[in-house]
Amino acid sequence: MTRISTAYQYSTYQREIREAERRYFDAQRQVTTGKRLNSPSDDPSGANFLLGARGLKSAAEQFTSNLGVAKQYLSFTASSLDDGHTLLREAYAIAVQANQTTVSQETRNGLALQVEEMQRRLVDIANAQGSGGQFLFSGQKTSTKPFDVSSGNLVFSGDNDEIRVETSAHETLAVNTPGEQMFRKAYEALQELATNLRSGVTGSTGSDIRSLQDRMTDFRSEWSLAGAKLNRVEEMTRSHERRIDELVKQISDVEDIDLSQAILNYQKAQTAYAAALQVGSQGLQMSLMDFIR
Amino acid sequence: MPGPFGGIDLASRALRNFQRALDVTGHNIANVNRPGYSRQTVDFRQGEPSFYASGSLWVGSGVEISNVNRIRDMFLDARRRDGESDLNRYRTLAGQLDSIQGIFGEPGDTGIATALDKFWDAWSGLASNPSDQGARMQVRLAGETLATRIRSTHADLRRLSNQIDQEINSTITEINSIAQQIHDLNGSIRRALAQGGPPNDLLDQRDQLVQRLSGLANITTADFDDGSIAVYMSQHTLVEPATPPKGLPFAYDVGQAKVGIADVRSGKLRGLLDAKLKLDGGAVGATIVEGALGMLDRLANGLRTTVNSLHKTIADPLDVSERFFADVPPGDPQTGAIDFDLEARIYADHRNILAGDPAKPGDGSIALALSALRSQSHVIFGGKSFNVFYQESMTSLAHEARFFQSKADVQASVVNQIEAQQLSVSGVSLDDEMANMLRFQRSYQAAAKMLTIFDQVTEDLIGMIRR
Repeated sequence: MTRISTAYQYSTYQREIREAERRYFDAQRQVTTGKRLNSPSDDPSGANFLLGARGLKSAAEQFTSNLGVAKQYLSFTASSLDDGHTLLREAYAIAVQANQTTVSQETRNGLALQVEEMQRRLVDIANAQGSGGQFLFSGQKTSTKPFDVSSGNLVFSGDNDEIRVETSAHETLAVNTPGEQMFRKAYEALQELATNLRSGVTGSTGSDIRSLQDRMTDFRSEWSLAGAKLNRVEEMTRSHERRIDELVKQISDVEDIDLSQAILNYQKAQTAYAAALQVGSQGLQMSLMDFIR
Repeated sequence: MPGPFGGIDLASRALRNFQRALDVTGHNIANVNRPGYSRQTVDFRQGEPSFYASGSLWVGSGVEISNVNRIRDMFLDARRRDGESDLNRYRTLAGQLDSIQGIFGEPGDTGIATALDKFWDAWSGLASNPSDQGARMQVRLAGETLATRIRSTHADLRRLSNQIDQEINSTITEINSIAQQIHDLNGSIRRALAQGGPPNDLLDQRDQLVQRLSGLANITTADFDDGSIAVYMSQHTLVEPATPPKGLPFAYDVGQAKVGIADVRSGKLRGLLDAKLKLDGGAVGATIVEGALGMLDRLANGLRTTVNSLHKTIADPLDVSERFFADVPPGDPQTGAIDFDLEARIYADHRNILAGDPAKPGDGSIALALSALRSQSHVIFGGKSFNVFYQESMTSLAHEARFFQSKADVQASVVNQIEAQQLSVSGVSLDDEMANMLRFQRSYQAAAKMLTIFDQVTEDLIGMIRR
């Protein structure tokens, strides 16, 4: 049987009160901060997970923003390619019309003027700029105007390098369309058509039609490629966003408290604290002194 | 043969002794709240009997106080000292590790991990939009934030390390001052013992000092016949009976956990040395332990080397004109986290940040390579990536803080239990003392009554002679 000394009685009581008060305070802090983890040592493996997950989330957010850049680039490119395709279709219609023997040379001259105007429009399309003022078809030399006409020839001053956007870890996507060959051939096809129209070489206009068809295919296939990449960009954006949602939930699971659980703990701690205070204030009042007269 | 006044002698002796016993009870009550006080009890013994010749009888001669005892369990004291030593080591270390964690501030938006993530993100953003000056500005800001955080964390950790130095020195001072006090008490106790019974209150004081000392460092004691004690700390003799106390020198080796020649095995002093090792690192035997400061140095140097080696268009490896982070000339020892910053020319104009070939504004190849550094493994980090290296350092710090906190908690409950046992043995109980007080008061009253009776008897006798 242990002997209970006065100091023991009081120090035990003080310790119990302190302990109950600390638990009460901890529970209170959890409820008010909403955080389960206030220091890594509260849950080291949780903290380890958090550091990793926050990094992944940050990267996924950056990739999403990169994909936004890619999307802009690709949609600007696709619409320019579509413009080019429309223009070539008009030229094709002219070539078909001029191929009929009934068309007079005068009409052909008029058509030739139209085709030359189309050439100028084609150069404008080839010099299209993106939202940031960058030239879409000049490869990596985005600040250099890529196409110019010098004494009837199309001069290209860009390059054919790819602009790559980082879409996810270790993965990039080329977002620009190399324009040099495509536009040069289209320009030359229009040039040939205009020349043929003026010289009245009706027999060879047939070859114009075929080459214009080929050029239209060029534009159409590059346009589909850009469209396919746009789809891929959308898909990757969705996948990154799903990943971000997932990570946000996982981070919250580790970092945040379960509120109902925390409030329950808080109430339990409060009851325990109140009980400790109550017991102490009553038990410690007892003394032999009260009974000695 | 007892004289006619034997009874008066007996009664007055009893009165005196009950008075002493009441004094001891009062002393106990007065010290009820003093930590380290051991309750005292009075040992009564019967007086020398006197021979009553006419009847051939031995007749008792009342009561004497044989001793005033100090109720104390030496075995519990020794256990308490060991407990205090371990408790203070773990508690100190856990507290300091908590401070280190607080300085890193992970996981949070203001930590280095987030700054590192944002730095790689900014390069990824620039790689994907190389002609955008806004993306360049992002890189500059993210780089500046990263450098500032590494630098300020390093500075805060250095400040903590200096504080620990000061605390180690003040702990050594405290140990030396307690050793001096024990030495002084040794002298008083020796003199008191030579005069008579044990000087209980001086012994309590000395025990209390020894216990405080055991909280500071691992100590052992040895008792001597003259009542003095010797105090040893591993190989160092702090207090010896005959000679003046030898204080600890203010020279310590963190890696070996030594102060002067003495191994520091526990106590607050060891906790501080442990914490200092966690910060500064050092040689523990043959192995070199890296501290938190060294980890940051490695991080900063790794960033310098890897980022600068990619952030260039000039093939010459000795050319440093395009560096992103400021660094020493190639081949010189790098300076670590203390002055980690961007190059001045990057601050001067963010267009000096390279995304790729400057002649081709759409070239993002350099930025792309820098963004890829995020997940690449590097020799300087033992084959780990930047983020994994940093993350693992933080996690092991967290594990250690938790480990030592729980050790401190366990040790605290051990010490509490020993303390409870000590209080149970040595503590004053007011109810006990009240009962004793009543007992001695009643005894005193009875002895006083006895004295009046003897007085009356004697007076009757004298009256008879007078008649």
